[in-house]
Amino acid sequence: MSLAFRLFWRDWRGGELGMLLAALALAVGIVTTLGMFVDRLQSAVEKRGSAFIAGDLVLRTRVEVPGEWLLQARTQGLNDALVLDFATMAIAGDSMQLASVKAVSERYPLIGSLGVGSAPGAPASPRHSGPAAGEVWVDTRMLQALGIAVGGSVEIGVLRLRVSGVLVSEPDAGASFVAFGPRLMMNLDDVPATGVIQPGSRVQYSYLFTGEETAIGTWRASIEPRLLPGQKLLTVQDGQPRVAKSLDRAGSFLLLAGSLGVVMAGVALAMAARRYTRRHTDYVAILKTLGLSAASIRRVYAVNLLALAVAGTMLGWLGGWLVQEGAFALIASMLDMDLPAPGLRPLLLGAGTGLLCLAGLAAPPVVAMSAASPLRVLREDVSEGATGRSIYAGGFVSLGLLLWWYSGDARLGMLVLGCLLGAALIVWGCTHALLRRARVPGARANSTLRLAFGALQRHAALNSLQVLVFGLCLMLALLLVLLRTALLDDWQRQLPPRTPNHFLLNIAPYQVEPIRQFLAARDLEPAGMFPMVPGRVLEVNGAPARIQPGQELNLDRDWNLAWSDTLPADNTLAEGRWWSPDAEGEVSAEAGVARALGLVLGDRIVVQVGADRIESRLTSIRELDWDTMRPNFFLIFPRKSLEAQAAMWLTSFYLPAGSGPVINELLREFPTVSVIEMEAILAQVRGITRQLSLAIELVLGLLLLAGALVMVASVQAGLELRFRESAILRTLGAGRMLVLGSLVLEFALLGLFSGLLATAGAEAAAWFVQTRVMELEPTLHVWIWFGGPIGGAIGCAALGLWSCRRVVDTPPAEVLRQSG
Amino acid sequence: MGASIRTAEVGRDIATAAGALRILEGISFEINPGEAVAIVGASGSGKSTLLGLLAGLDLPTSGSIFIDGEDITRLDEDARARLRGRSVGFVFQSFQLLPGLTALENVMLPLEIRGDRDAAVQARDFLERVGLGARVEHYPRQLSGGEQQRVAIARAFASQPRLLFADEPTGNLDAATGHRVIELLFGLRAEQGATLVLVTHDERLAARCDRRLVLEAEQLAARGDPA
Repeated sequence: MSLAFRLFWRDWRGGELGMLLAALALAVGIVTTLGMFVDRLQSAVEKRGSAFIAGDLVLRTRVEVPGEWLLQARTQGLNDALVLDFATMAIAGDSMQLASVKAVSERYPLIGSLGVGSAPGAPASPRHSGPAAGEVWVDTRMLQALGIAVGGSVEIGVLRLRVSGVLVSEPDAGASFVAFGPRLMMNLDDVPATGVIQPGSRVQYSYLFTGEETAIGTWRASIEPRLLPGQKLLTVQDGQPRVAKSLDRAGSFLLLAGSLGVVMAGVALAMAARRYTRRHTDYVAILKTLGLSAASIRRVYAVNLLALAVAGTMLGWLGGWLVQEGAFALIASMLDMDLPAPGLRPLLLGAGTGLLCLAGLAAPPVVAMSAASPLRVLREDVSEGATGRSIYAGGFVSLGLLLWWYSGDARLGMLVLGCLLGAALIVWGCTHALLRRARVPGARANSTLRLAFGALQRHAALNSLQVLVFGLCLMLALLLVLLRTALLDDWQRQLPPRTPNHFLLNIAPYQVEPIRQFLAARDLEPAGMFPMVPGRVLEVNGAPARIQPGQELNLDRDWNLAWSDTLPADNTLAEGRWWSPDAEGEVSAEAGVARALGLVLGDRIVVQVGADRIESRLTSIRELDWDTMRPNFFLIFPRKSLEAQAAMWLTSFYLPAGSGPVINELLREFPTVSVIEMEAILAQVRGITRQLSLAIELVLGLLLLAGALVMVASVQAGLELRFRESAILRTLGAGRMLVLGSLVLEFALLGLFSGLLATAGAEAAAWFVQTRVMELEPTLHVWIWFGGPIGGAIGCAALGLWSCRRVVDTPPAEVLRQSG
Repeated sequence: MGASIRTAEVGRDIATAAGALRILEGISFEINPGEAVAIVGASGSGKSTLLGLLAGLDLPTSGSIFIDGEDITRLDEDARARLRGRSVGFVFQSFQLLPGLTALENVMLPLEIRGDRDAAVQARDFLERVGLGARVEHYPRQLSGGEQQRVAIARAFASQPRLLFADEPTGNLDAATGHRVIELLFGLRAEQGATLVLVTHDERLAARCDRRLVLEAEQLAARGDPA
């Protein structure tokens, strides 16, 4: 064994293990970095998501729940807080204002923080509990409506409370009871003294809980069966489906990015192992000639691999930790989130990746190498020992296992691996066929271009491998760029600038025109004005309406039916045609509703509106995006069908921040109209998507860097051959520029070809991932068909120039002497 | 005391795309302990193949090879490696030094494989004897061709082999350097009394041996006369 260690040390000192160690550290480093990054970010983002409901779980109810439920939660180690939402009049002197009151217990908010300022417009500072007893925080609108300042007092019921701050933000603004009036936040302990809550008062109780995931799960499971109608358990998924979806998609992206990172790391290691074994086959032959047995040689290399595993893992951990710390430090100010410390999982994942890569990708060729014939010392054409399929099979299996482990999803792992294998085979086949065809004799050294073409063909095997690696790296990079663009575009599309942030409800028909004028006078544009008629779907084609299996829709409550002369701006017709203005007896269904009810064009649908049964024929099916913040309707009728029914109108519009007391003026002029302010929700959704975008860009950057490193490693693998050829050419009189020019051109051609193949692969893969994994609209990306090949050519040429400049700077005699 | 070699009807085929190609056929001869024998013949006549078979680096397709009466064609690869480690030294045309090891470490290698505790002392001694005492810490790439071959000779003799195989030992060297290397090789052999089998094109080198074996058209054309 001591001989093994001595040989290892000499090997290491001679630089033979450097490349393998670097590749291993890279593999461990990529996975560790991404693992830590994704873990920390995911938990931070999940916390952020939970902040949307100010807890991990919320029980929402109209009545107080039995104390025993809370006791049970506390026994299981859960933290809890209580929020009461109700509407009441706030009075200051002669002014009165209907307020959306939120009374909070001491521990609210369990997750996230409140933003409270000292005066309107003053910067908000984070607070982790609500106002003290005897105090309230109100929003700017309330101050304006009541004509008071911070330090003044308001009366709620019979209790006078001091205004001690301006409420700027609430973590759970988006999920709370819709805010019909200006906000007032008070301490829960003050509520009884106000006397405003009486039996029968319309109050919403929100019990918030945080704790270990399993404890939450256990409590939820025991409470769920005991819930009464109207009591609801909410998680961030239920509270903020939009945020949950963004998180899901970002999670898919990061997972995929991480998996591709694992693949790249594996490729780097496999290449380094191949180079190592090629260089060491003669070494093994000499050792055997000198009397070392195959078993002893295997022992020597086992020690090598083991020591490499330890050193590579340590280096990879350190590098991974440093890179993600650096990355977070760079974006910390933009991220605006508390980051949890990295856990153990990424370290284990990194070490496991290193070991599996070594065992599956490096060990097989090294073990095979120990079978090399000692006869190689006399004849170099003797076999290098076992090579080929069995070795690649080992690598393939270990990559598969890694992907499975990393993604926790066997199907995704196999899918990624299968696609990559398919792509690799196609790239390899195309390249080999192209480079092998019409092989010309000689070096064709009479011009740079001809020399480059000649070299491309002479090195067909090496170049096929290089195109494979370049193509794979470029494809992964393009794929990630495409997916990132698709994700960001989708988020941008959902919430474009000037998204309506105020909804007006309960507009009486006689108020429609005055409100239009009110908004127009202030340069505000309503996003459509819709009548809402409550109605219920009764029958389809004479039979009671039924929800199709596997679909979800509630038929037991009133839907808001609308009538319209024109197709709403955001809707598109999927089937059928839109009606003429004087049509009657027709109906248009949203595509999801049509699916849920199993509707096809021509079906007869009966709805009950008040005492009337209205029968209509389905003449169109509409597609629309529920993620945009616009009023939308399941069923729309022609004007004549519903005009006679009592309707209240609805509209939405965008009010720029700092537009002054528009809402107060509106409420003064139209006191019966209800206003829902969405700005807080929109700001939060925008904030979280911005952070996710930033995170995704960072991960993308890290992976592109990893890809570039893999490409450098692959160029290094073929450098010896190029050194030798260039030395011979220069010995024979070729100029430095001719040799360098042909090398750069050779790489540019390789890059062009790799880029073309990568573009096709990335386009196909992006289509698949967009449609099947992330549920996004597929798109064709014209620009990558130019950018991919050209970028590939330029990138590879630069890489070739950088890597091969030594080839022409080293004296030919030195090269020839060293290569024997 | 050198080892004896005997071959009996040794043949060697290699597989090619066009079918089996006969390299050697019906080779039988004997080499006595301490004898120096040159294997000569045109390029492609199978000299190096025969050397590989004699050294146990490869196995014949037919026939047997005996070293000190032991049929090495019946030994497995590891047993033949042990035999080489114990009794055989090599000098190659392309030196076959390990590039990552210093001159000293290259010479120490066979001694370490054998398990000698004073490998470094012995190796240093042999490097002194081949005139490289001042270059022990140099790597092969820092040495000239002649120096590299002297390191290879030191390595071959360091384990005090009973049997020494040399494959075109001066093939990569100029005449003067080649001459010095030959002197060294034969000088050390004379000291240790090893049996020497060398493959060469070099007439002067062949002339220094006790006997020549001439290979022609896969067969032994002449056993030569003792010089």
